[in-house]
Amino acid sequence: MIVAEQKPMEEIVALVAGHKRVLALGCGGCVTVCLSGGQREVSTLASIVRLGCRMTVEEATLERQCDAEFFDAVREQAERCDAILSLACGVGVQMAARLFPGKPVYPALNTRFMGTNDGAGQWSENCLACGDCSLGVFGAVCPVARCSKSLLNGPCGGSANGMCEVDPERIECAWQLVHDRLKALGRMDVLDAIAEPRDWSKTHSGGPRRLSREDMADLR
Amino acid sequence: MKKDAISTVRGSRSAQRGRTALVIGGGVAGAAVADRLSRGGLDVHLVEKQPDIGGHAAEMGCKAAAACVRCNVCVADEIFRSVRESAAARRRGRARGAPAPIRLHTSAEALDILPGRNGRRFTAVLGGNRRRTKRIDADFVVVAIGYRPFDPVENSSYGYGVIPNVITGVEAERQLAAKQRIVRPSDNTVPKRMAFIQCVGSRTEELHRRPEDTDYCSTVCCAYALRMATRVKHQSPDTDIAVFYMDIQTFGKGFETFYGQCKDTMRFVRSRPYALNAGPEGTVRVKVATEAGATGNGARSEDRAGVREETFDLVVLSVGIRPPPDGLSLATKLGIASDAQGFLGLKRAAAQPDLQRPGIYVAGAAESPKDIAGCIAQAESVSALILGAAVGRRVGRGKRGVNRDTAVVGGGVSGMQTALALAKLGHRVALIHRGPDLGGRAAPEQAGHLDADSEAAEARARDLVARLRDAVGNEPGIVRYPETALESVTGEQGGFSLFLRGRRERQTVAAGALALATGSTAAPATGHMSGAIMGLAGLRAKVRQGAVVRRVAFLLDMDGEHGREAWIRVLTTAENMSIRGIQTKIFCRNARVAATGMERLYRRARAAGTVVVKFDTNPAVTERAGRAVVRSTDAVAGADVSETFDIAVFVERRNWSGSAAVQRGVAGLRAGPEGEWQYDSIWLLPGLTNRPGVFVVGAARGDSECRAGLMDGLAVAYRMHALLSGDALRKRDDVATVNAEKCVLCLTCLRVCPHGAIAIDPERKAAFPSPVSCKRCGICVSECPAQAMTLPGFTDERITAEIGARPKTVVFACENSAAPAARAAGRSYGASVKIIVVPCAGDVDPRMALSALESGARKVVILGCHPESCQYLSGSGSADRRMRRLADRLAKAGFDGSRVSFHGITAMESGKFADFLK
Repeated sequence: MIVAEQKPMEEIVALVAGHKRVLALGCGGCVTVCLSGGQREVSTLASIVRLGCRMTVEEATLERQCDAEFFDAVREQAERCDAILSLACGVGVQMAARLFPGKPVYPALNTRFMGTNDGAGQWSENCLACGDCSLGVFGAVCPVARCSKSLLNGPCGGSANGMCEVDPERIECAWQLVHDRLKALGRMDVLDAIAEPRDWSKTHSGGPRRLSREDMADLR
Repeated sequence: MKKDAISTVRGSRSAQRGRTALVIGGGVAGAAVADRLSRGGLDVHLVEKQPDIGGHAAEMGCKAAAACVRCNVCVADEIFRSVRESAAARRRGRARGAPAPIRLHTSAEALDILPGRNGRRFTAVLGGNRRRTKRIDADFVVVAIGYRPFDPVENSSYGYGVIPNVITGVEAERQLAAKQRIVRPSDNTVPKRMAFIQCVGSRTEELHRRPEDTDYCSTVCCAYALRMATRVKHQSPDTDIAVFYMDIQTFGKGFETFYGQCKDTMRFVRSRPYALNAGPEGTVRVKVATEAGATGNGARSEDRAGVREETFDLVVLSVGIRPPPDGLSLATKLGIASDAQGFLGLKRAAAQPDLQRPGIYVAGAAESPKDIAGCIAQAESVSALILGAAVGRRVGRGKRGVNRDTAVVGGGVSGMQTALALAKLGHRVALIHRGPDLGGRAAPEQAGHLDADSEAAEARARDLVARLRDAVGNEPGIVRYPETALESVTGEQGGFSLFLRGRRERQTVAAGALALATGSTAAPATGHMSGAIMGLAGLRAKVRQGAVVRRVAFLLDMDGEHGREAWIRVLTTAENMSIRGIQTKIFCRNARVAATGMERLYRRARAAGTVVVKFDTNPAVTERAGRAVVRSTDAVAGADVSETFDIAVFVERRNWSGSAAVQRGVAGLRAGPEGEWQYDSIWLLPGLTNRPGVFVVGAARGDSECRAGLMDGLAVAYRMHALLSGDALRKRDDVATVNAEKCVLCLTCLRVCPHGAIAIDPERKAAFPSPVSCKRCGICVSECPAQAMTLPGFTDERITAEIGARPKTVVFACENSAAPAARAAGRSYGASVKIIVVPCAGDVDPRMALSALESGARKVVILGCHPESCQYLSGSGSADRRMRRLADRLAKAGFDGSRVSFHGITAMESGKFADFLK
């Protein structure tokens, strides 16, 4: 799931400064689930901005902001506002900008990572969309996303008590996890093999990526 | 919430027709017994000498500071209200089929208890001031006549009654109850320098054998003094507080944190003042003899040993608990035993003191010193015994869909006791235990306090385990599952499914309620382990191997506070060793003796030769040439001393959280701050967890000793019986509901529900709050990011309408605390203040507060229980955090954040209510 968090209030206020009528636009997808951009958050944020910045703030929440069709429902509202404050992830913010070319569109969130929920209010990253998944090799623990250095052949010297030196209180050493998992599966032989350097062009390092399914292409 | 857990029996009325109980004494214990028995279907007469029930607890006050301090006074208050309502209902006349309300006889005394007439066991003769005597026939009698606080007039060195600004703890409580502050009697001012003197009337010396000497710890004084001191410090941060003590006893959950906070804000002086004299302008001069470093507060101090005098504006004498003045005469009349001090009942290992007259029980402080929570636990244990005897094996009609079978996980002393009590109350019990035999890990060295000498005590403990084991074997209602572990639990109260793993197979057992009695484990001993330095387990092994040992050191409190459980083990071991000629020395910060029999064990051990040394900084322990060297600071000389021992024992800490696997397996079970299973809230009376229907008993609950563990077993059996017998498990129609269209299955509600009452409905693809277990607190509703949830009766529309009148101040008041406080405050606030009652502060969505502000309110105040004592466990804490975040965000947006706030309040603090509106 995409995990995003609201920007600091000062930053949001600075972004919308100078406008008179803003549309706070929420998204019913990932950002609702991670409690940062759903209907309730829209309502709360809109209220705070109205009280503090003395501007009119309209509210709406779409099913999702990553698909253009959902924006039809707010076309009129968007027209009468002089800016859009999107509470979607970066994808949704850009979709709004694409669909309303003359309108300033501002992000209310920082899109942080793809990750999992660890309990109420807690999320952690465990996939960075590298495009070439090797979870099958490493016992389904990802050294690319969860090792701070994305090492592929074992831990560095900073691994202590199962924790990573980058943040020994919070970050677990991914290689400790890989080791424990492979041990439980009886596949320690995997660690004997040397993993070759990755093809990083499959990750964002090769530029923004596209995906195409030939069997669907006709329906454009 | 508590109202749901204990409700009335309808089905089994026929089994209990004609069963009458007489309760003598309307204090906490008496009122609680009366309440529980009447809900259990018995006819109850409650007799109270004073014009109203309440006893000493009714004169105590809330001691909340910034946080609830768990003094339980509000819990006691709740019980008295419930009993008064029941008695009032009786006068109004009752509906057909409703259970018999309590018959209250105030300003009345039990003059005599004669053998019964009309087929009853007893006939009591009641008399009042000028009323004619009344006769009441009863089958059960519960003696709950309470205690007498020690009167310091008996000891002239305290100056009580002569020096005006020397008051007792009782008087301090009365001040708190009446005006929520403690002030100097001489001029009604707040003291700048205040002292608490502990152990007044308890643990006194036997040297001169005065009649007023006591060889027991009253167990409650350290708790109430520190709680009062915390409150005073919170209200007047400039007041300097000194606590003169011998040993600070542990009390309740979260003790370590609380004690740590006290040590940071007050001075602890290890000494017993020997004279108090009047000073000028109403001050009190306290003369005290101290050892070096006595004012250390845990850090090294430069103080020399010697005699000092300190001046205070107010001194509170923490008076202890004495037996009730009419206790002995009542005991004689009833033909029940009393112990050497004058408390009622014999103090054998059994949870209930052995009594010579069947049908008569003792509960509360009249039996032995205990606090409010202890009185309630004992009252429930007595209720379990009485209902078991009254109900017999007739289970009665339960509600449809409620499984009245029960399960107990753990075959130790507490587990066996719980299982037996449940069987007597008519429930089938699945007793699941890991070992091949019952008996758990009860060790003889845990029993030294149970009898007059450790050897007799050990024999008694073994005998107790054997008796319980035999009783379980002879009880047809108990089915044993030996060598079986609990893997997971699904379902909810009234219908749990337990998945078990035996040696060869897996099984499923169904139960309506379950008790976890899985005991504690020793945490790994800290400190450098070696041939000469080990834990208690290592010592046992060494002794078994026949090693020659002449000098042994025991080290306690090195990395946290040890409690009663550790002290019983150490003292029993030390006493036995001393008797056999081994020199023993105990190094500790505080001697923990707050349980029946422990002070006597402490004195016995010392009389046998054990030396107890108190330290303020940890001694250093090293090994040299195969022996242990302990280096500590001698208190009198003020210098470091090294001593050599054959063995130094680092006493292990116990791990109360039991099996991690079990904790994971029971979905939704939350631990308290120090890892204990019982979630940290006073509204969870001992034994309850945050998950309705799941109970914890015995050593798994925390620092326990075997007598308390047995009592807990009975009390928990009562609670399980009450849950499954009453109508607590009916389906309700006003629980939280989910709009499946809007639900995104983010699972937030599931995770924040403190009661584990929400599950996923796979068909509707939405969250589903249980119609049986949902407590209707609304915490989930206010967290739902898609606004998909509603609580009927507390909808957005209704709240918007209430705000619509554009009041100046909007108060969201929790119905358990703030709303009663507002009503008690009595004043009319006019149209400019709108009080909106909500089930829990956690039900208030920040959007509601914002909506009020946008409607023009100047101030929005959310009032709920103090976060640690939220009746829905996590609602208040949630509200506190949310409102802080909201105020911060408003401020950063350029709006005055102080216009929104959350405050904690209890139902008894009506005086505070007006303050929050200013």
